[in-house]
Amino acid sequence: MKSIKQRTQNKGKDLNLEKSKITNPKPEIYDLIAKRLRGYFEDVASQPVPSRFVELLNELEAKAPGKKRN
Amino acid sequence: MVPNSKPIPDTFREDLIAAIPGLRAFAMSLSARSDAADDLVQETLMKAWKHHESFQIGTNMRAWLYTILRNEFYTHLRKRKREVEDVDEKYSSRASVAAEQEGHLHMADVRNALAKLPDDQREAIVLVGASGCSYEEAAQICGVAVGTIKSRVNRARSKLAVLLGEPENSGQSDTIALNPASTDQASTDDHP
Repeated sequence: MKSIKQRTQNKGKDLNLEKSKITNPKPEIYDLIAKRLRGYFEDVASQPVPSRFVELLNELEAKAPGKKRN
Repeated sequence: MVPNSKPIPDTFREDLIAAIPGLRAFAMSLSARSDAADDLVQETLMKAWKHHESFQIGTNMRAWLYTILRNEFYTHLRKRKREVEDVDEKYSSRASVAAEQEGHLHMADVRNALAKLPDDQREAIVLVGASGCSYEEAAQICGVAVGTIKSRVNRARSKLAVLLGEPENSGQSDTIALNPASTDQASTDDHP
């Protein structure tokens, strides 16, 4: 992955010249990103399941051959 | 009546319902619009039901469903080019209360940052970094080698570090916490 390394290095140089206040990403930033990504995902996943999906599956099951629900 | 070679497994409906929260989170992470995300989930459930015989009982149902959802996503993406600017506010307003309670978790920021990633990097980081898939599962879902997933995840992480670590990105004071060296406090330490 030579090209990525080079690009990252060049980018780092440019950033240091242009915006000295932005430092190279530190490991703890990656931890925070992982935490935020998981938080986002879990936030959506913890929302109640919209009833349209359950209704859809009930409908599909009712229509399925050999799966007559009473 | 459509003749099916294999009967639908007894628990199929229950298994699909149990998978919906994860499918919604995956769809919401891939797509910039919440209405489109739920349509994706609906398409996925319909496809899964229709092609139930292609699922082998005992194998990884999550990976099977994520694969279907991913294929649907790219089919629709090709039809209508996704607009990065079009990230809606519906989700962020719904999630804002929970987000405030979490302190630094700003859901709209995460979503905006994800929308700025190239498609291949976004799906890799979402699968591995957010959904809890292994590199192997992610590789299977995306139909690429494990090494490819690893390099996509690394590139996505570097981009997200810049997107989410940059204070000017959102203008919110709490995002500065991601980049402590850029705060005034840090600079006063350097120059007493």
